[in-house]
Amino acid sequence: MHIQAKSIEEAVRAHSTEGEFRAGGTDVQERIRAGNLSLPIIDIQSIAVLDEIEFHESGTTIGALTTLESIGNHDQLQRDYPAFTLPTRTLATPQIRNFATLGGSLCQRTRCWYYRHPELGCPKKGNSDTCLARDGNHQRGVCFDFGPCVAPHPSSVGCALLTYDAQVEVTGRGKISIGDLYGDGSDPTREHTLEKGQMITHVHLPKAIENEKAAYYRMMSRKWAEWPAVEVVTRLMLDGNVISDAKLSLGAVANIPFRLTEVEELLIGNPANDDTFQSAAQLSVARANPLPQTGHKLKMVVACVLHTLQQAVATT
Amino acid sequence: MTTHTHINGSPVTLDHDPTDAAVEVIRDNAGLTGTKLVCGAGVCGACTVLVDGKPAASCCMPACSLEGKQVQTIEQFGRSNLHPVQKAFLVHDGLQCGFCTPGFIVEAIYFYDQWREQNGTAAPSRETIASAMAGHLCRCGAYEGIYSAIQAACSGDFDGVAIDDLEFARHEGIAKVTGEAKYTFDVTYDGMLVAKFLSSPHAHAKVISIDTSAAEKFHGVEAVVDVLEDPHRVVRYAGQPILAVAAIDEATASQALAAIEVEYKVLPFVIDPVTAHQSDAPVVYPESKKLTPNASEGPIPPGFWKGNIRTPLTNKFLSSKKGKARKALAAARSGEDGLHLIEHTFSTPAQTHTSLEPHVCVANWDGRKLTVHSSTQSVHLLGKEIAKHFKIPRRDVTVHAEFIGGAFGSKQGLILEIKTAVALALKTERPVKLAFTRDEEMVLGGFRPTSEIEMALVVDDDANQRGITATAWGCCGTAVQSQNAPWIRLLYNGPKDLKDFDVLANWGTARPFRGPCGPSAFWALEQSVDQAAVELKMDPITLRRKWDPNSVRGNLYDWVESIDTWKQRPETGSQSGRFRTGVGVAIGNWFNAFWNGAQVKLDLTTDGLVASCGVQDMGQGSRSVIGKAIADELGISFHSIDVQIGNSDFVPGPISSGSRTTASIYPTSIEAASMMREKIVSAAKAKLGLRNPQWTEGKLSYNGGTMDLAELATKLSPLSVTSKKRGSNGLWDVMGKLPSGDLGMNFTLSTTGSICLIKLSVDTLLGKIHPEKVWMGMAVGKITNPILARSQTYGGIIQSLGITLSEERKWCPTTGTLLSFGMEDYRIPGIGDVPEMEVHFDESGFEKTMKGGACGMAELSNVPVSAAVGNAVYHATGWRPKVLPLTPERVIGNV
Ligand SMILES: Cc1cc2nc3c(=O)[nH]c(=O)nc-3n(C[C@H](O)[C@H](O)[C@H](O)COP(=O)(O)OP(=O)(O)OC[C@H]3O[C@@H](n4cnc5c(N)ncnc54)[C@H](O)[C@@H]3O)c2cc1C
Ligand code: SF4
Ligand code: FES
Ligand code: FES
Repeated sequence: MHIQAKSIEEAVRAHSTEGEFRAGGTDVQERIRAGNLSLPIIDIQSIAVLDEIEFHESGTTIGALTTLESIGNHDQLQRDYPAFTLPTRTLATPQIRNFATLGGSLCQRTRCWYYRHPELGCPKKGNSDTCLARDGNHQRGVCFDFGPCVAPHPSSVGCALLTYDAQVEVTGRGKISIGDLYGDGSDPTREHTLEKGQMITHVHLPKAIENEKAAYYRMMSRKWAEWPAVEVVTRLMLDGNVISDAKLSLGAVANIPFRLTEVEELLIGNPANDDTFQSAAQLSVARANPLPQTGHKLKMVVACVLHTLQQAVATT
Repeated sequence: MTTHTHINGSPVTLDHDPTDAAVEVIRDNAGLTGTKLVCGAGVCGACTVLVDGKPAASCCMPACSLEGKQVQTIEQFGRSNLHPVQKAFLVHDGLQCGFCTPGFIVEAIYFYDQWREQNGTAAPSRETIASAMAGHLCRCGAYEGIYSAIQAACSGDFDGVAIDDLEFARHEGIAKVTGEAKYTFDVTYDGMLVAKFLSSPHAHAKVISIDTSAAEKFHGVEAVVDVLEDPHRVVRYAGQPILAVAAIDEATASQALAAIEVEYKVLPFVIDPVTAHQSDAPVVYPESKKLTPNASEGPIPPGFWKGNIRTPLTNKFLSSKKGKARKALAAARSGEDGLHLIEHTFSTPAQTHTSLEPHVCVANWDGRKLTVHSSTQSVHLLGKEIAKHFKIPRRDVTVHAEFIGGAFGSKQGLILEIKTAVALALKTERPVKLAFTRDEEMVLGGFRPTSEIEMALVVDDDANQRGITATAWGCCGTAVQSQNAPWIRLLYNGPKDLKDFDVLANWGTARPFRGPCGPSAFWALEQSVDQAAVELKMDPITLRRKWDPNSVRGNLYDWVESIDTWKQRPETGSQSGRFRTGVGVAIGNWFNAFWNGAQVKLDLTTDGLVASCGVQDMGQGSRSVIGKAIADELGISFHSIDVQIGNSDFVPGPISSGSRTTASIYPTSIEAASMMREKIVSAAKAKLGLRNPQWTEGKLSYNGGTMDLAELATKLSPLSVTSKKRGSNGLWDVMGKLPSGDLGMNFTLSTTGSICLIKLSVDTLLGKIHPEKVWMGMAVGKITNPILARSQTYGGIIQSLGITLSEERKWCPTTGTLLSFGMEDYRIPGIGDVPEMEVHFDESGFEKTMKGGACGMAELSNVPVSAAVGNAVYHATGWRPKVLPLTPERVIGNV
């Protein structure tokens, strides 16, 4: 029923056939209340040395058990990786960030209301083959329809790490890119590509770039503590007034977070001015294929992309 | 498993299940019930405790994570060592019902410590406080007090201030800021059973058979009762309870539920009220319309039905000069010269009460006496109702509701959880607790009906109002009595053609909610009036003055006209650029009610004065009203009076609805105090032989000396007085005898009113509306307690901003399930969403109608807000919003 793992090996062994890791437990506990968890619970929280932040020559390594609070409020991380710390500081609530872990934030399960409802079926819960949201209510669903599941991927942190081409270290798989962690969204049963016995131990960020301009925006109806309807992480590197490099990723609009590579290509080499930003924003929905009830998100994506580009250049 | 931890400094060993969350072991194993469990999903912060010094959402923290940790709960900060933050919450009234308060205080103490370390006694900004408190929700809307409390505490205002030197308005405040206050949700008995509902997964189905035999054989299952009252054995919404099981613990009850077999015949259902209109829509009550629950506080008038549409016969009395209004409309529609037609369809969604304390009842039957703890707004009446329903002598039934964690209209009378818990207690002869889970609360707890109002307003070039026509549809789910149109009559004379309809859908039942459909009626009316001013190129207040010559509201207009923001507002539609400022105004009105049967008993005991009344407090401050009335009348200190409420054995108190509480208990408390004064004076003469005794300035003076209350208490107690039921009060009494029960109502609409001025900014790129400041002017007669009155008003504003900007229920059209069943998907305002607020009370004009002069204000503070926002958005952008809530998705692209 329950394993209190003291080492990575012990955790991975326990997980090899069935069960679910529990790190901060902020996602797991909520699902326990709705009866939506695969047993046994494998607690990994007391595994030593997985909560360290290490700066080295080639970049930065962060243990999977590091809390979001210690990442978001870390001075050097804020300086070196602003597009990573911005969402980390503003997602969820202070109490959640105090105990939620980096690994958990990447691997948390979907917030789809069908999935979270104690009575309803969903392929991700394993109690149904059909997605009720697709023909039901998907007003908060995807507008980039990449695969069977139409619920947005929940991870803001994953979305941010994409813009840094971060790598995750996974037991049995070594270092994989964050993109590979999430795959292409075609798996109806999971939000990521981790198999049984695979656990994230660390996240690696490449060497910091000086003077990157970062912005993050989450579209919410309230000020704080709400799941975004759209979120955008934007990083710009400028050479004078010319954009020398750009990394943008979108969250809350597809079943995986993803990079807006076409927008990045448009931006690079162009002046950082409103004309460029307007065209970039318009292009951001080129790949969109909204569902019947998510058309409204397109305007939001365009507005959020434009807003973050403007914000980014306005930062000093 | 076992977890070793320290709670509030003491080592504790906890035996628990690996799946348990910290909140469960803190409340159930350690018995520390100051920590609340509300959303169970990390959203509301009511469960906040400090773990190794850091705030944690204990509902989302595994219990085993407490191993080796230092845990601090609200109980760490008790009565004898109040933290400056707690003192500040008391003095700045950062609380109402108090259910969210322990969580807020624990977080605020953490924030205070950090802030003081880094910033000394500088005051933190509202922004800073909002981001620190972002993980807390307060449904009463005590945020304004919370802001000022945290600022004051951080600035050092309460450093070293002794508790006796604090002046605060909430009589029971200390119990609430220390987590001592025991709500029904916190009540436990030895051997108490836990009850849970089995609910229908179908939105409409006939229950063919139920097999409970397997469940009843489970070890630990003590009783199963049927709770489906429908004589046709039909469930009409998903999540409707069918059975309840009482078992030794929650896990056993859940297992038993899973073993019950129910056979359903699934029937067609309808969720969207617009679809429900259509003639071929599935009918919610195909068998008979006799059993539709009542969503209002008044009686159900007769009506006739067509499919899901009900037309109440009261429609006959709604209109005045109907023909004239229709004619004006026809003329305006045909384009007659000199007429302006403002014609739109406005709609508002359902709003769930979302009290932080769920509907909950604990019942205990000892074979002779029934004790019921209930989170109820009607403790006195409930005692009667339970006695009658279960055929138990009234004297053998006691209902307790000492503390209530919010209600807002949703907890009146003998409702499902109470009936069920009592039935199970009677059956098992053991204490039984039945609390709605948060999912159940969202489905069953009630909501404000929806509205769709087709409104037309005709004015002529001379700004004369020529007529208003409105057809209103309201959805109460499976209930009736939405009543959107009647409130249109609360303002402005003139020809009116009003029609009101219920449209039913397969949802749970609506319940009264703070001015039920007032906000929606004014959302339509006051935006139409604003639009009329636009068409006439007139100042919106000048136009209202013309149509509403009432002097009380005239004072409110004067007040708004004196505010710089109003005077200096830019011209409508004159702004360009991304961010635009909007300034809007709207007025509202409400009737007010009272209960003639309310009494207060006052005892002089050796310990001092004890006041008691069978009333309850859901955060509006009943204890304070009684205490203050008596204290002022006798000239003594408010805190020296022991005020006891929330018990049905006490003398009758009013039901707390229709803003009736203060209006009912304030005058009767004064009466009790003056009776006690006379009794003391005459007893001093008769028993103590004092000469020429007189009560002056809180003391008894007589020839040769004075005596204070404490001394009198030792010499004269016991003395006891009970105020009388109210005598004849003309109109009041007539109304009090109406069949709607023992309630009195004041329909003299010329004496009340509210006005809301709002300044907001619209981000036209992102579709975000940011309210910056709200001014609320209230004409509600005498303000008995300004601090509490202000808090109530803030709460009304905030709840209204919720439905205006973010609150929205979401349904699955194919399964009929409520999808916004948690507090992360049903979005009530947080502290960061609350603008600055300024409240102005105009106390004039009331004396003539209401003796004692106190009148409720819950509704008045709530009804004009949405419309003021709508008008401000129009002012900023030239776009007239019609559908609430104004979430970014509705605004973006329109502005
Ligand atoms: C009100 C609210 C709002 C929120 N808003 C946001 C938001 O906007 N954006 C956002 O990103 N998040 C949001 N969150 C979610 C929050 O970020 C997650 O709950 C949290 O990050 C999960 O971390 P944890 O350590 O508690 O994970 P746990 O609950 O312990 O685990 C979550 C999942 O991850 C798996 N897991 C954990 N660690 C590992 C590992 N090392 N390797 C492999 N699998 C692992 C677990 O098995 C489990 O399935 C919100 C939460 C709340 C309550
Ligand atoms: S598959 Fe995805 S969208 Fe469909 S119900 Fe499950 S989580 Fe929701
Ligand atoms: S009960 Fe824990 S956050 Fe709401
Ligand atoms: S005082 Fe905050 S919920 Fe009632």
